[in-house]
Amino acid sequence: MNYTAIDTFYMTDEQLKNSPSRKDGIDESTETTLRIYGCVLIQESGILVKLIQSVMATAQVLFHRFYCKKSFARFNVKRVAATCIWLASKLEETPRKARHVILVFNRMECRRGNLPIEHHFDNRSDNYKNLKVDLIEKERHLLKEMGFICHVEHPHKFISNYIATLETPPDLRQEAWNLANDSLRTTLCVRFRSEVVACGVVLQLHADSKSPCLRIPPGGRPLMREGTVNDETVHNELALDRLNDDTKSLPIDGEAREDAALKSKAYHKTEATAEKNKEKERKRERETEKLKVRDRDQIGGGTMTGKVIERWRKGT
Amino acid sequence: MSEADTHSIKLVADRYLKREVLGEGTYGVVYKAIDTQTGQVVAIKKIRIGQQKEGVNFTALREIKLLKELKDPNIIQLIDAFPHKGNLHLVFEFMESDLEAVIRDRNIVLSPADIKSYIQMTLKGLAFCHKKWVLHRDMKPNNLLIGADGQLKLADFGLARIFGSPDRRFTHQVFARWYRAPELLFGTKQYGSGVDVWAAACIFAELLLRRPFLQGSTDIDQLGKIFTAFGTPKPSQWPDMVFLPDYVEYTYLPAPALRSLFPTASDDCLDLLAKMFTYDPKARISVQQALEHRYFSSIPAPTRPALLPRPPRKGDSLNNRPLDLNANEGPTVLSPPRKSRRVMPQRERLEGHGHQGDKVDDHLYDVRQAASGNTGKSESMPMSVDFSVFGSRPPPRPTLNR
Repeated sequence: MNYTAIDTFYMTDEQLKNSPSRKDGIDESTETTLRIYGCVLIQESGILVKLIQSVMATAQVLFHRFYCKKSFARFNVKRVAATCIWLASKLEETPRKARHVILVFNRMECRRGNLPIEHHFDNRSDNYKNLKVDLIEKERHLLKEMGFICHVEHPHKFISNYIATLETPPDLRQEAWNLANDSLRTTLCVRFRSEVVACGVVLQLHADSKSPCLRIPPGGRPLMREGTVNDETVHNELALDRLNDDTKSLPIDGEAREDAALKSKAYHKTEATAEKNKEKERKRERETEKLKVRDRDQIGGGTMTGKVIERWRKGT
Repeated sequence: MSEADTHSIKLVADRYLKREVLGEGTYGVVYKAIDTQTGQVVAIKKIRIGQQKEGVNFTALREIKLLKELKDPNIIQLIDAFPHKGNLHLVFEFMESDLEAVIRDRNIVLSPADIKSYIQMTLKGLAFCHKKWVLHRDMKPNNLLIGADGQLKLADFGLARIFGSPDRRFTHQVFARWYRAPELLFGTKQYGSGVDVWAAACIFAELLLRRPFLQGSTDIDQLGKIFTAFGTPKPSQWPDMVFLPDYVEYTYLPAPALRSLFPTASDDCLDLLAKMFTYDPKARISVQQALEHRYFSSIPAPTRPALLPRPPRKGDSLNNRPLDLNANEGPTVLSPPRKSRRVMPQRERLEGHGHQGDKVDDHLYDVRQAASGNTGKSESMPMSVDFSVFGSRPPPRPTLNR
């Protein structure tokens, strides 16, 4: 379905700059890293619960939208990521059980923290029950925050249309697909319509390929003439460029991914602000959190930022 | 009335004034309410999510996701959705009646123009869905609601889903059985808009016959009923049939003339019906093509929605309901030929009087109901042969368990 009537969830650059997270003292690069981290979690969990790519894509868009409205300091990245993949699985007609999602996130947590893997996660344990209650609660939060507009349109179908029109060779098609999937880790999906993102991907593809394999007719950019693309596209390209750099700096192998993301340059710069967040977070936790969380045991124990600092202090 | 009074003080979500309950389902309760901000009468579907183990109800999510986008005069309008006190509330525009009530109401005479109008509105709503790449998958008279202005609107998108992506596998357990297309009964996992067309054809036939057309008691029996009506399909008619997952061979039955099944229908009408009831889903007419069929451009022109005969309003005449339960025992009313549309002038006059007219109509309805109730009992079972063999009334309409 082509959504037209309600395809309205877009943010301006100013809005993104003054995001709720910023008001809680999380700076831009930290927010970017947290966004990428959340998307990595979604992608990995999606593969583990055997979902198709479109579900992960939907979940990532939901994730970005949510954090345009709410702060990373107030909502735990991991739990929101878990809720996003769960909700997206329902929206994309391939529902997964809450238990399944919780188990997978628990396992990912254990692996990342080098903890002994619990082969049997008791679903009568308090830990499990709390996670489940939280998952359901967060889902409602998510829906409410988006005013129940939970449709998502992906650039993929536009891309496959465009490159078919441009008669792109098959190897570049895979490249385009990769770019489209990677673009979901950036905030592109909450800034531009998916057609625009698609055009950006195609243009990027064209710029990357040394030989002029894309048959763009003389006179330049045909897609732009249709009126779907304007100066935004240039923007778009730039953002994708940046993303490419980001992802290149991360080692790709599974386990190391998180640590790499955490240790990336961005983090060291933001030490001071992160420290502040941690304080704030702790205070909030003391007040509101019913469960006494120990960072290690569960998906959402403590915040990302808190954990990073701890690990960083220990010198791991 | 007393029920409404007790609720009159408390507002749901500080906005909606709760009135009487309209219906109840597995998902929750539907009740009538008044939007205090706009004064609009609405129907609120309350879905419990408090006890749900799997969070927000899957079908509710579908309904919200699709209806937020589908805005059309012939599709129910979702006004709002909000969580409140551990329940999910979906606010719809209020609809007075549904097509099942029209078909079942023996006091209503449907002229060919009325039938044309109803089926045209159904197809228009469906065409919009298909244009947006949405399959309804639960077409039945009960889900076609009729508003105060006579407009028919598609409702209940709990089974609807987006289609069109190649190689996606869908479940074949959709539609109430009587409206299920043969390819679904043979267990196909890949299907398209043809399934909705078949169901629309069943509704069309039901409007003509004033009773459900193909009333199978099991899936196998349903196919049997279909083949009795249209003949067993030959491979030339439907080449892909033998490759379907649950395909079983049926003994060959020749197709009777369609005219014998629908003696009152016009030639154009039969032609359209035949095209909608085509076995091969690939050859079946699309909704858009059906709307362009000459049936809709030939005389009589479809009745304007405001002039269509309607049963008494759901909210007003709850007292009349119990009598309606006997309706199945009465004689089957076949659609009368064009000439016998004699009640029309009277109806139009009553419509003109607005509210007062409604009251008179209700009164008339009471009298007629009583009369038909009497005759109903003295008469023997008029339904198709199958049921008289068992000596029981026809089975209740099958629905899907959700």
